[in-house]
Amino acid sequence: MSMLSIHRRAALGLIGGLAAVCAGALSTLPARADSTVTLWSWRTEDEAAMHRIFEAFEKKNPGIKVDIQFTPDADYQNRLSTALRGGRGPDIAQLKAYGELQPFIEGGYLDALDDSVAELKNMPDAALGGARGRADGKLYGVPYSVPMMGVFYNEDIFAAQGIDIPKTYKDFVAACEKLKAAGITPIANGGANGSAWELEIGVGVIGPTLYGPGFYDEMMSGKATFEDPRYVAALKRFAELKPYYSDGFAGIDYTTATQQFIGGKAAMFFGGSFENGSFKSQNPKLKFSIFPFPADDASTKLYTSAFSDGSYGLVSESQNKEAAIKVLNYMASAEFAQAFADELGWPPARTDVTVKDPVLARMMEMAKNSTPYLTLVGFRWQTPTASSVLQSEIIDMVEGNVAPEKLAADMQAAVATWFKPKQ
Amino acid sequence: MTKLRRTTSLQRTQQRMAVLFILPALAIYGLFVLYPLLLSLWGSFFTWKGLRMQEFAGLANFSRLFVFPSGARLYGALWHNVAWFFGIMLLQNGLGLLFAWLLFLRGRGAAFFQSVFFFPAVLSPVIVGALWRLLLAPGGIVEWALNGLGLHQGSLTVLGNSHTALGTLIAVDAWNWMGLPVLIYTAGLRQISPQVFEAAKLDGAGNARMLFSVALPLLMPALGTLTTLSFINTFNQFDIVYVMQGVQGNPSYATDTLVTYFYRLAFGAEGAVGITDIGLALALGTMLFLVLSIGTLLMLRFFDKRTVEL
Repeated sequence: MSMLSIHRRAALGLIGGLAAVCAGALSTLPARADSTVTLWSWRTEDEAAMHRIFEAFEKKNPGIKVDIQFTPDADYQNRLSTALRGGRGPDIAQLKAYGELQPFIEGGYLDALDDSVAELKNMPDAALGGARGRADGKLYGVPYSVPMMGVFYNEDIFAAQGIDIPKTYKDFVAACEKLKAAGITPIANGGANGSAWELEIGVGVIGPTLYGPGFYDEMMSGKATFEDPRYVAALKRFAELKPYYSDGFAGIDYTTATQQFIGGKAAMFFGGSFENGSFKSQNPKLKFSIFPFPADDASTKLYTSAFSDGSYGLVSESQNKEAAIKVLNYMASAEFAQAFADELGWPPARTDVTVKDPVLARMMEMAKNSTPYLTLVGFRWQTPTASSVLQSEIIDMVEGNVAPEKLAADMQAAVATWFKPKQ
Repeated sequence: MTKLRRTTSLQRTQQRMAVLFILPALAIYGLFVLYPLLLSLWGSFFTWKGLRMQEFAGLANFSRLFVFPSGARLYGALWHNVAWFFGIMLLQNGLGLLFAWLLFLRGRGAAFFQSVFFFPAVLSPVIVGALWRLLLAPGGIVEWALNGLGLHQGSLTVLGNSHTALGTLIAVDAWNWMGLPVLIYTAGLRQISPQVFEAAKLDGAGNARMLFSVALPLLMPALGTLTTLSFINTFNQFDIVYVMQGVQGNPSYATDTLVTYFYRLAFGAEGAVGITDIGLALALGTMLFLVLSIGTLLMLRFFDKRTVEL
């Protein structure tokens, strides 16, 4: 509590939404030449790589400068919506996917790109799905990546302990036991202090091995719910691996968990493919790769959860649309996808790239059998989202304070307030 | 007569001047506090789509606040705020009184200890939150100390445990602001004339008796100020939760407060960053405003009645 800031905090508590408008009106933008296209992104991790990618573009288009500004993910959405409401947004904005994109479309802050960016036709639907307006079916962004998820593993540790990539869930548990006996953390995992999205990804890694590739459609048509035994089994499996998670699981956050893996203290990590580039840049010596989480039976075909991470959209109020559309066309090109794959090591939105990075090659191979990342693609359209319930209760579930059945029931009750199955 | 008239006209001129002098501050206050406040009250009666105000909805936003799925969040957050208020009254203002009394009795070195108590208050709550997050992490200093003393075994996960998280945050908040009650009570104690304490001593009162029967009634204005401040601040509690547990009030909403809930509705939550419900947020903001205004008025009246005049 602070004496001096009572007014400020009362104002924050009461008028957040509108105080934001004032803040937006006060934010200053540098004066800029007409040919400078501003681009906002939340991927602070990729700053250096993004600058390199756009240097190539600027060389080919001498009249256009791209000014990329990064805001940390936690504040990005807030900053963008404030700026758009105040008419002070960028020319091009990085946008979240699926349901989180809709408010910007409904508010009329974005231009549809179906006609102005021809290259969108050459992108797979898995990528485009996240950039579509729900009401009109038009495309409001240029997707950049279709991440998938799997188990990252430290190749050196596996070799030193004589562990092969597990073929069945039983093998997986045996490998964890072996690692634990050797004093190595088997799986770096944690979602404390508001980073529980990482645990949701963990469920995304394990889920498809238990509910299979057809489950998404069953959920969408209303045939299945979150209380389906197959989904509950996925939650149970995530919880029963607790003995192999980082020591002090309930207090470990995402950053700590990644550091344990990058530093070679942990053998495995449940993660999205977007970790590839940042793992490499943080520890170039780390020898790691990725494998799909195994099913009970070695003969089961393994599917991986995939989703469109987001897109880059054109802000309606941009004063510089011609140049911005040029930039967006470049971002939709095969050339950009290639640079994106080489620089960042994520699966790009386009599949017509040659992959040099062995880990990325493994990912693209795994992504051939993919199923939509259930909680994001299917149930992040309105609040309360399935994700918000899952992220809140999952630590308690792993700790044994909440039963998996109860968590599944809470998720179902929350989405039932708005979700209408498609018949 | 003439003299009298002159003074009144002078007074009138002074009053007019006073109004002129207030104007700039009033204009700024009106623009940045009153105007947005009224706008948000107004907005709470409309439906919102995404970021834009749509049609008039009457009290629909308010009735939605109390039913599923919002109801559970609202009551949970309200209860946490109430618990926070009582926790702060006990840990911060109660202990603060004790420390202030001990410093007052000791006399020597009081200024030094006052500064020590006040030090955390100069840090931003954001820094305090981040600091304690590090200290309380598994493998952190607090775990090492507790294990060394044999008070605890294994990893310390108080922040990840839904039974202990809220209490831990309240304790951190109390640590942050401990200096304030110490400062205010010490100032209050110094204002009490020494004869009062001497008289009590002669009547055979011990230190504890003197604190509760003599000092405390005379400290009523200080206690009233602190209670009111604590009430306003605990019901606006946001920063420590945001930094230490995220905006969801994790784990399992165990540390969710009214303002973190408001933030999620207005700006989006984890797992739904871009999906907001501004109508519901403004209704909650309006409710919070009413609760705080009425609560503060009641408290001020309560302590006004109980002020002892010597």
